[in-house]
Amino acid sequence: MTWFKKPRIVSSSPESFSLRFNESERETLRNILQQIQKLFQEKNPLDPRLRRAFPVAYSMDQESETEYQRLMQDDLFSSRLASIDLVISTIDKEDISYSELLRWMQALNSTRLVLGTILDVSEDDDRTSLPEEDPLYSAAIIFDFLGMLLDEITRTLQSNA
Amino acid sequence: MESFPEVHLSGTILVMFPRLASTAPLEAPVFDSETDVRPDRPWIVLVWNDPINLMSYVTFVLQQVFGYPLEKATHLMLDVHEKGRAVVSSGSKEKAEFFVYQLHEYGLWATLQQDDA
Repeated sequence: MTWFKKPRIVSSSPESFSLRFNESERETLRNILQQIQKLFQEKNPLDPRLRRAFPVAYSMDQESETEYQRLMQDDLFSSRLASIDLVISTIDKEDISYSELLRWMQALNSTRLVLGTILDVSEDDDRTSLPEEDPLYSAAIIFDFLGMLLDEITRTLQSNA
Repeated sequence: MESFPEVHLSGTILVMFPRLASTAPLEAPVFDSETDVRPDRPWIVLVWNDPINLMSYVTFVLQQVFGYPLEKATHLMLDVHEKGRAVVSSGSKEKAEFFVYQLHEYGLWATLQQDDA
């Protein structure tokens, strides 16, 4: 895992975290989150891009699985969307709270799950070699950026829990 | 990466890639549990290794959802990473379903099943 030389999330107190993104990073985050928001709003569980973000619960029992999805799938879509909405609405703020940062973590992780599914990520991938004209180039760059950001957020939450 | 981003924001990032054409849901690898129907067997929650979730993230989620101390959460995360899966909890079916939902909310690849031990 590569690290940011300059942190993007700085805890100013155990309850307050300042967001240190530059304008183009904010713009990129907003853009990708809006695309994810649109994808989740379609609520199509068969969309292959959602395979990892909406996994099976019962892998050996189709009947229980169908029932589980009937009961829980809507909640999971709503929960995912609520986190995405929160990030979009707080992205221009200077500081966010611990619980908001926790939502950020969930939203960025579900975004990363979709990107990783599209990129068909495996353990030992080298995505840095994708040429700029590749249709997956942007997805790969953002996937790696989100990985660094998510690692930083997780460690920040961990040390302030 | 400090010069991020050099991405093309005008285009669609979430391209539908050809190799994603299959609509089959992702299946956790099945391991045989036969037809043992003893009703008193506990329900276990399994977390499966996946190449997307970060190790630091998985550890933190296990602490959040189960209240495990850092050492135990780290140990379980390493089990998932090295052995492909780990049993992270065991108990009633209702509880197992509740935990699986929470783990799904955090984006972990979790399933439940009745213990065959």
